[in-house]
Amino acid sequence: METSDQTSPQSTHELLDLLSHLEELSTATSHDGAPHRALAEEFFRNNWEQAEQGLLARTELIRVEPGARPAPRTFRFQLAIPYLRQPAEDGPLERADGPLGGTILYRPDLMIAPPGEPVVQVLLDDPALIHPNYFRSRGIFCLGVLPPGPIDLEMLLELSYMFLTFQSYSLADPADIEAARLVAANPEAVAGLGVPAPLY
Amino acid sequence: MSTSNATSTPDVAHRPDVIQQDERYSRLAATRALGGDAMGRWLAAKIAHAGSGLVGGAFAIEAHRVGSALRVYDPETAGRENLGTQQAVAPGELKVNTLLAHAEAIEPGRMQVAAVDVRHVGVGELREVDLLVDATDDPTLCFPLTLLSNGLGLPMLRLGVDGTGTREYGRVACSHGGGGYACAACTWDQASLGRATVRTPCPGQVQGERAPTIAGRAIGLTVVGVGLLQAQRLLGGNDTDAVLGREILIDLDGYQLVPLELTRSEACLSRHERWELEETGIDAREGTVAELFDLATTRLGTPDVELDCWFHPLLLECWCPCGHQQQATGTRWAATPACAVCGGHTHWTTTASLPGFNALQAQALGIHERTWASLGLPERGALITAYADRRAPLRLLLS
Repeated sequence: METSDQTSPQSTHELLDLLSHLEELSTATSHDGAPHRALAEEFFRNNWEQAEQGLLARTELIRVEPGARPAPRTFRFQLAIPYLRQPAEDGPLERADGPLGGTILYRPDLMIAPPGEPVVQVLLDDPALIHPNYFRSRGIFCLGVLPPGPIDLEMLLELSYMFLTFQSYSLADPADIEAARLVAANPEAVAGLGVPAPLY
Repeated sequence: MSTSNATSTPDVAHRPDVIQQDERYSRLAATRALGGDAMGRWLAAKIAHAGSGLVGGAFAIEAHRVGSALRVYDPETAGRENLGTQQAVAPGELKVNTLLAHAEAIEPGRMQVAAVDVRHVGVGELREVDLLVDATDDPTLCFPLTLLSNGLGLPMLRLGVDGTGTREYGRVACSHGGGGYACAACTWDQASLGRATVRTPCPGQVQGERAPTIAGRAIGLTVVGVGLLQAQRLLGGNDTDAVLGREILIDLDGYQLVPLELTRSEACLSRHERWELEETGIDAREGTVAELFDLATTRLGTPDVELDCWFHPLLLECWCPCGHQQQATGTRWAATPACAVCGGHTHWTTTASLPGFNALQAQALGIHERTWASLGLPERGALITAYADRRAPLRLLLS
């Protein structure tokens, strides 16, 4: 089996640009005759409607721009929160006022995905963000081992908000061990973020 | 797929130490399940069998012993913990290889095995059989295998045990939505489909561990016994009513066998669709993406075609443990390119994917001239569905 020879470096932003470009090139095609796709599209449609009419209608702190409607599976979001960042390696921690941007990607075949493979991913935009659950190298925010079944957008956003405002986070099994050390060693920096505002 | 090709020459056939087939199966052919012409039908039938663990391994050996022609698919390697519960395993060896060795000792030349996930077996290969057996204990496989069974019009037996270790409990269910009976999805709603999925692992985990099957050999063999009888009834044709639309619950705690009648739902999530497959004559190892787009455009009469590879979504990125991410295109069964930074082994990012793609997207990804096999599709019998608005989907088989 051959391998792809496309090995040009690709940042998270470039991947998102590619996904967006591919979305622009897509054509509305009926998938009658593919129950697994129809079910996934139904989930994505309900997922967005539920978030739009639920959490997003109630809070001023989260803004979401969905991908191609009516069944989006890519979501750009902004959280109106302050956060910690470390612009220079080994430099001091800084407080950023926010907002913090990111993207949620759902796997399109999530209804029949093989076990053990992630079906959803939360990406954050600021590579200098310091958080124990943030893979700086890959731009991925870890929400832990999520329960079975397609996780709805509302839950992902609420969890992300709770984790990123340090109302709940894990130091025990950090995604970024250096970030976990920095957070543990600088409690005043976390305190400096202030008391998180209620989502709604 | 590895297989033994031992044949009997006339000289060998008349040696007194060589067991003839009619001798081997003479008593079996006198049973109710395989009496009359049923034995001939059973011996002529082919079974595609997924899983060779506690239940699957024993079923494969016992079905082989009584004359069935099986193709067994399982990518797993045996561990020491399998020795106490599973038949024909050797730690560190592929389960199917050990299984084949045992099968060859019973009767050579009939069993075929492949160390591959059944998701990566070409539909063209699976349609050649008469029965599907799912003994994988993988709930995420149930819905897609049910779609496949319905689509091909093949009955499917699902064999399983309670793997929690708390009960001596198992079941044998027959799914045959394509034949007018209940299928495995008839009782499901969308929430049950979601519950069949497993936990999403933390990012960076390549493959989560499936929970092990905690069950003993006693319940396993009981399930195998019932499953084997159901397979013989179904393929022999003597007692199909005892199998079709039935699920047999096996409860060794309460010493009960409970036959349930499964009701076919006309609102089933699977829709019970039968597939019409069209041969393309295109070899996956040589045929390109562009070639298939051309063919689908001609047959559907429109260039606005989307191709969807059955069970093989197109992935768009891979990542390296060193932190580097790079664009690559292929399915999860394609080899990933080496990391452009450190040269290390990379992994597919499974969330960055397309379920299907049109010709413009294929060009944007630079895969128009790639062969299907290079994208990680099965080399034989891959199914690619072409969708276009207001037209029935075209199900195309690569050769």
